Amino acid sequence: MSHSIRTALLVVLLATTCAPAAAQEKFPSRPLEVIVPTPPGGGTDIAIRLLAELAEPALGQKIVIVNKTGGGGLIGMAQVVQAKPDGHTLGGLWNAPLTMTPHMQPAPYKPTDYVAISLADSAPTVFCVKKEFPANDGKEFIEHLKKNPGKFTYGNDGVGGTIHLSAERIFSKLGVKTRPVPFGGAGETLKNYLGGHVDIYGGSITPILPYIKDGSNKCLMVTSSEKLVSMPQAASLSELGVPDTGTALWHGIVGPKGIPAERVAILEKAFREAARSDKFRQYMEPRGIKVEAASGADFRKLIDSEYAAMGDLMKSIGLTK
Amino acid sequence: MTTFDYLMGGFAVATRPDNLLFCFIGCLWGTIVGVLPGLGPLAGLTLLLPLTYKLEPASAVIMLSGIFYGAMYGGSTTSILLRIPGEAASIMTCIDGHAMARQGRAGPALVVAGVGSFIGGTMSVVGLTLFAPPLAQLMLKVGPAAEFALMALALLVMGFVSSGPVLKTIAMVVLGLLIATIGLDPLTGFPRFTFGRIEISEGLSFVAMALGLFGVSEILLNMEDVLSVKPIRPTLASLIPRAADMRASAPAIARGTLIGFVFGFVPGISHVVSTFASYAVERKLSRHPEEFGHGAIAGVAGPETANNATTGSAMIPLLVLGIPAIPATAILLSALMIHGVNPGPQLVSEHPQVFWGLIASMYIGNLMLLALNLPLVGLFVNLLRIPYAWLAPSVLLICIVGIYSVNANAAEIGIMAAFGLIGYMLRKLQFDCAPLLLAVVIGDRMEVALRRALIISDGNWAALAQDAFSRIFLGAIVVLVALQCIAWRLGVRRKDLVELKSTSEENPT
Amino acid sequence: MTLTLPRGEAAVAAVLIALAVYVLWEAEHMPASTPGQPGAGFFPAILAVILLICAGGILISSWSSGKDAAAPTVIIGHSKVWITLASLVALTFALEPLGFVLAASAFLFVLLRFCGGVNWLAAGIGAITLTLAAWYFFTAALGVALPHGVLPL
Repeated sequence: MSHSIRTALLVVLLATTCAPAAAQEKFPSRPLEVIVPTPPGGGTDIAIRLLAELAEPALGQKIVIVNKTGGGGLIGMAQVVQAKPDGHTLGGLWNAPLTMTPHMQPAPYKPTDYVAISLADSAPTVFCVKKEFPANDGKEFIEHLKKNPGKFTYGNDGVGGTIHLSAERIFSKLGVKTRPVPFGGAGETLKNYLGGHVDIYGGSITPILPYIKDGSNKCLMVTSSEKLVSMPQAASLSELGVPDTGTALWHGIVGPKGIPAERVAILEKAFREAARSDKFRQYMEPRGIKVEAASGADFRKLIDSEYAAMGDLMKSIGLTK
Repeated sequence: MTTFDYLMGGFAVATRPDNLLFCFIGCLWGTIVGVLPGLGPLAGLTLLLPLTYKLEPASAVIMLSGIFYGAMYGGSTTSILLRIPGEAASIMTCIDGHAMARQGRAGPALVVAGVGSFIGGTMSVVGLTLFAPPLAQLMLKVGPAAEFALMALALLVMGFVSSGPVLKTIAMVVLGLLIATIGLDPLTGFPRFTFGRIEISEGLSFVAMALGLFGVSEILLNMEDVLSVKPIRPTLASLIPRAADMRASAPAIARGTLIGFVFGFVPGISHVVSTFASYAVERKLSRHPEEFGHGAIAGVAGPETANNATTGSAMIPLLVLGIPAIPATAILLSALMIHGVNPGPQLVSEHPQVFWGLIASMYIGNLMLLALNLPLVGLFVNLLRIPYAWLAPSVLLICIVGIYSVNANAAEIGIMAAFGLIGYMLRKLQFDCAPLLLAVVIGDRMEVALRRALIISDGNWAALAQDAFSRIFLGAIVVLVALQCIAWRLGVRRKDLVELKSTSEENPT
Repeated sequence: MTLTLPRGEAAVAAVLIALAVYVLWEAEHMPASTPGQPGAGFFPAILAVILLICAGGILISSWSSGKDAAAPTVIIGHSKVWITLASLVALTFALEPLGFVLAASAFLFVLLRFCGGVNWLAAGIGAITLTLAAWYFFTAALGVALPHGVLPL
């Protein structure tokens, strides 16, 4: 089995590499490890695995994905931060462990403990309703919600989850009051929404896409500042007058602080190329996910601004620890 | 084209030599993973998932689903032989299955478990083939309120099934539910009973608890006179079930199939809940209820059939709606997505060879598993010949590796030891551990369902009984409680009569 | 330790009552619940109350049957049981520092020799053989990562 051969190879190589690596050593000199702090098979896991596979040729070494679950992503991320900063151990993550969860729970790391390498993709969340709902575009949607404060329920991915926070960020700016019902993920939200147990679907695009296509549901709002080509009916945040309140669900690669700059540059280049590749694009775009392939510097800016915005938001809705 | 034509097309895909091989690998791996305590179908699936990236979507999903239902076959082996549940769905099998093994009847138990699993699994696929789309729509209607009612019903059923006084059973169930609350609150993220340690934020490891309460406690109990635990020496003849066994099992298998298929609708834990519903039903309907707990074969046949019967219906939400109902099917979902195949309403029309190929392969897979498991019965039963002095430490070693393989956290071995001690003491004092463990399994979901239902209804408790499904389940609870009260009153009356009779005999006038 | 069954049951009931009280106390400190938003402490509090009632009932019934002289006795604890438990706890702490091969061999050796009554030589050889077999099976065939500890294995 190639998985175990990979592991065995990694084990042998790690065990024999006791001497400190010489500065002139070629990087990377052995297989890399990317820690994904979710169980295998979820959205983040799939995206990072695909990205890693596509980055292998540029790096000349295999990339092994290690799933380390727990603590809402904090445990896996902690392991990244504590790893040896030689560039061979990295983290593949989404927003929450970096910008959201640390506000709610004591995290064993600070934003300055890691270096941002590259942002791979990002996807806004959408808000959809059944076709009978009395609104046909974003503005009518918000109007209707404002007229009925506290009446409508929307499904999200758990209190303090990405969907919940991105929704509240917008709703609080617009003065809308709805009742969030926490579910375990897009799949459960979808199921409960389709069964009529909640009024509004709030979540990622991919699961609800087939149900929009067949006309039984309509998407009225998207949490990005520009409109989505695939969903013309959904109002963008600019159209609603609140362009800077968007939060997308993104995936990116980070590493422990202290990796030498030349190595970071090599990694950044490899992962950006991987994200720009056709195969990655072909996977992401039909799902409504935007390929970013951003530089480490841009990624860092996004993380820092989102971290600050989330801190403020959570204080205002009373979620901070 | 009729369903039959589609299915034949599916068989054309499933019987390609490479797909047959993948099916076999999946089933074999699933059996191994099911047999080994600690590793369950989820672990088996995740270990093999990366290997499937290079395969065609149909082949990938055929192999992965083989692991999924294969594990339901393997789980019964250690349950029967060692009283260690191979995975959660085999907990009920431990009770009567191991009792049968103690009586030298491990062979018939294993055979009946295998046959029942085959029938349950196959019939479940038939149900999937014929009824998938309407059933999917029906499943959507089960919302949080109905889910809560169903789980309360399941716990009630569990209470009736357990041996021993009612109060003790309730205490164990409540204790299990409390243990399930340890960790971050799933709805608000607030840490409960974690003492500030992130490692516990997902709750105590279920595998560690199960192996501790059942496996380690069993070994500790036996340690007291380890030298006198006689290895069981089965003869060839005793491997084969007697005619009486088959007659007793057949109705249990039939009922187990139905129960399992119906319970496949319960999101999240269908395979576990179905086993104790089946056990309860068999005990209630049996002409010899006192045998249960001491080696009643229906107590093995029913649950083992039921857990396999959930595999077909558990696939329905995935294939028809694109929603994974249980964690193992979530891995199937991601395998499909990586190949660009989006499960959902368009799956059948856009990728018929994947959908029908998968269904066809499930028929084949169940056959393969039957052929795999039956001959192995002789081999497994001979494991019991090993002197306990060697068997016990080896079993502990396997449990330890099993636990470590899940989270690479040595502390979980300590948790297993702690629960082993707790289980040992509870069993000595005649508290039943099965309700405890089963309550832990469903506690999380039950609480979440209740709170969500209350959030949706904005605090209105009456709303919990408003939709059709909730009413059905709540009605069932009322009926069961009423029946139990009547039975108790009748039992008391009978006891009074017996006492009257004996006192009058003692004091003849 | 020998005690009567009802006494043992009463002891368990007492522990459960203490646990229920602790849960109630903790639940007080959890975020408040409103009818439309049951908080983190909601479910544990309800459970704790039910547990108090049940454990109370068990305590009362075992108290009354404890007066009965014919109550059955149980023996709890045996040297081999403590040895097994102690070995498991020791393994928990030793596994990662010492590595699987050393820790598991020692564990198996202790159990074989002191609980199983196997002689020194057979226990030693058996422990090492079984450990190595498990090592190769799980790491090579199944791809499970076991800690190396001090050995280069």
